[in-house]
Amino acid sequence: MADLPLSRRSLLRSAALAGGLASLPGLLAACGSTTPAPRRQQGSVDVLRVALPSSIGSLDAGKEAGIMNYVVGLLVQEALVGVGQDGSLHPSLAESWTRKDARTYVYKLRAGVTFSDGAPLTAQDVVASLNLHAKKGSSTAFAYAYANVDAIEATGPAEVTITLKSPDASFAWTPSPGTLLVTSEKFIEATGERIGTPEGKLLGTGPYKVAEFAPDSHVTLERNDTWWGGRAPFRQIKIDFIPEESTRLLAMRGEQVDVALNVPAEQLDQWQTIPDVQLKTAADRSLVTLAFNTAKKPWDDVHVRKAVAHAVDREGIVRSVLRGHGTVATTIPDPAQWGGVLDQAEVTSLYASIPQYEFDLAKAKAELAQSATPGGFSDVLTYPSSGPQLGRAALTLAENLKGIGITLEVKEVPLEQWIADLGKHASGIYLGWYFATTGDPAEYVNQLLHGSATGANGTNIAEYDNAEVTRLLDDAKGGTDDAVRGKSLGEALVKAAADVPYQPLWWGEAATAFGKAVTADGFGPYFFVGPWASKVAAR
Amino acid sequence: MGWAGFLLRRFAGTAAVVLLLSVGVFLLLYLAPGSIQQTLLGTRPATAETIAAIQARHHLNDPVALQYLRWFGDVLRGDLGTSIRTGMPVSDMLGQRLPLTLALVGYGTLLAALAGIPLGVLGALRRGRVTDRLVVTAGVVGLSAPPFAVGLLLLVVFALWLGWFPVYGTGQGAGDQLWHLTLPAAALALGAVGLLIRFGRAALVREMEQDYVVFARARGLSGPLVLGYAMRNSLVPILTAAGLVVTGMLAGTVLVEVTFALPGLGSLLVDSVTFKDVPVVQALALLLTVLISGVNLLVDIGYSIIDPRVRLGRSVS
Repeated sequence: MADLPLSRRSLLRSAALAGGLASLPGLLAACGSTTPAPRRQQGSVDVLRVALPSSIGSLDAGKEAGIMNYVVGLLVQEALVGVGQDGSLHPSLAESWTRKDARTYVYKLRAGVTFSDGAPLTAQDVVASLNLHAKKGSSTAFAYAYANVDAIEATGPAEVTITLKSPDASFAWTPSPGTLLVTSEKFIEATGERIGTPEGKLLGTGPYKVAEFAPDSHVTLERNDTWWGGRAPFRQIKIDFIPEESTRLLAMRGEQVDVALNVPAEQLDQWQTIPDVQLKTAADRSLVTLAFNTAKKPWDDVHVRKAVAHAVDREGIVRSVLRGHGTVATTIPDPAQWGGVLDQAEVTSLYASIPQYEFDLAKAKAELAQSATPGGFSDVLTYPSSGPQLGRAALTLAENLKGIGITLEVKEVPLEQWIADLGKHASGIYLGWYFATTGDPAEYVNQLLHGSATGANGTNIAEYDNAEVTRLLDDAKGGTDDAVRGKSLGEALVKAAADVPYQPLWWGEAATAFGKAVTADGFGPYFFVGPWASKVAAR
Repeated sequence: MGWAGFLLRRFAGTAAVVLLLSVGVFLLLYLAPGSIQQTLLGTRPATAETIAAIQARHHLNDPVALQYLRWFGDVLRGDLGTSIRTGMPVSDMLGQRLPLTLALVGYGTLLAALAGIPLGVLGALRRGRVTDRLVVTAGVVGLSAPPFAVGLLLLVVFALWLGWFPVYGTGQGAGDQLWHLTLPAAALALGAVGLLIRFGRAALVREMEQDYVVFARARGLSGPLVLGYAMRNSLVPILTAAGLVVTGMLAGTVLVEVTFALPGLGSLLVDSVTFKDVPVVQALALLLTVLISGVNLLVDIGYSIIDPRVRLGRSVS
């Protein structure tokens, strides 16, 4: 369950502006000497001003599931279960839940929760919210997560029971904020198609309610004083969309914003020079991986795949392209995604057992010599224009491959075309870029390795179909014991790595800047998955 | 031929352009890579039913000609459709954003005229001297500076160093909005100033060499009075330049609105094109064509007011 990397809206802008801005950083860096008048008293922040790097088109993440839609939406709406800082599920609107049998989940609702319009939360509201995505013919972005749902029923005034068609352990994550946002039945009936528009807005149980939404400009949120989680720290949150990254930097320098998301890696040095600004970096649960189409010549030859895998200098890419703001990916799921399934030591030992193809051009040459195309070949690798770092990584790979006789043409394409190409499964080699919506380790693993996800529009872009791996993944899916699940998933990763359908490159990081007036508690990979503003405090 | 005939011809011409443009834009968006359902769903998995539901909802499986005709029929009935990206009626979205862009372009044109025309006159009066050289050089610099780069430069100097203006956004209340729009309007105006300097200076230089100016001077008329005569006669080229300036600024808003995070038509166009939000892009193309035609019409009417020899409906001399 992956998101659009960055937002599609930032793409044309960056494409249009990137050329002219190359010369500006020096100029911008030169402005550090000025000290604008302090515009804020210390210790009290009434209005929190947030800068987002791109606009959202809809407040409803079910309509437009971009990362920024969640950042805004999760301050207003909540899900049955939440995600803790360690990446495990924890109670949210559901006080507790049980997996009664392999196919049945029962959620017991928290008492005393009200929507921001004053109406109490009922089981009917939860059922209606789930049905937005689960009903037949639903066209929401979350609908895929409910394809396996058989029935959703209110089995008591404060109890909801979900029955699946077939066992799926990953379903535990479905009613988390990644694929469920609870609103009221009345609101759904009254607002209908207008949910998430400036006119229809949103209704939720979260710490804030939407006062105003102007696409491409701003969202204004007001505190919901009846939030069950307590009193949120700011009376108002003003979220501005500032697509131009240099403008965002200037806005932070001029103390016109308190929080700025997604500080670009190449600008980190400049942000760091702003006095008293805290830059917090954490894994963003994104994965960048090379994918080899195992159904297409010459990539159907494992020696070719190994040769290319050996030609990738992952440490070099993380060091020079990402300037250290990322981690070499040794397999598909980020280590932060095993919360509740495996503990840290188990994850470490599992990852150590996964076969690696280290950077070694001699080995790459030897592998290619054993393949059906010992003399090399040529192919094209595309990357989305919103991910210039992917392009730079691809270029280093192309340079290395030149040495062993493989000509790789690296091409930048618009994000929309890149997405379309991933769906076609017609290329030999891809750069995949995924943002996880859950903390479930099976999320990417199933999407990328399961045999049933092959074929056009499938998520298994390597067309990798190994019966043994698929069986292990099915075992994990049907299993009810987390430890056993973790073991099956781990085995599947080890088995698949031997066939090299993917060469994972890095797990991404995102940096958030906190201005001199505020700071954040417990910043981590899951910080923005939940009512994050309640963890931001005046300093 | 009178006013009525003139206007009729202009409207027919504009309608033809709008029609051709709407077909062209529609086809280009159709041919552009990616598809609406993929943009909506991203790299997430999707069930076949979800894809089918999205396609049915936006009529994506219909032949392209039918899709176009459906859109065209709705427009004839006065319905610009609903945005795919935001789910809002397109006419509402345009209505909310048009005032900002018009204000920006109007403010920019005003700044450009206030700076460009006097400088052009100064250059013409001091022809060949240092002042003239400086003015002409400044004009070239202004003309060649891209608006977004100018925008960032203005931000650094006037918003950050001097702290006179805000960095981004629109502000609230008329005075505050004007304050917020000053830097973006200045960024837009800089290129226009260059254009106005060049046109104004060249036109005035030509007029100052005309016989009537020489005679007027010989008869001992005062300097300002002579300049007034010459100015009036050089207004036609200046008006032409002003028309170009306004239409150029409408295009320039795309970059400037992004730099200053302003929710106008330009930023809407950028977002809608990348999203393949066909109803919005089509409506914007329509609106911009009408705006540009309107500006050209005003310029033509202006010619006949400034210069009685120019008659509407005949070729403009």
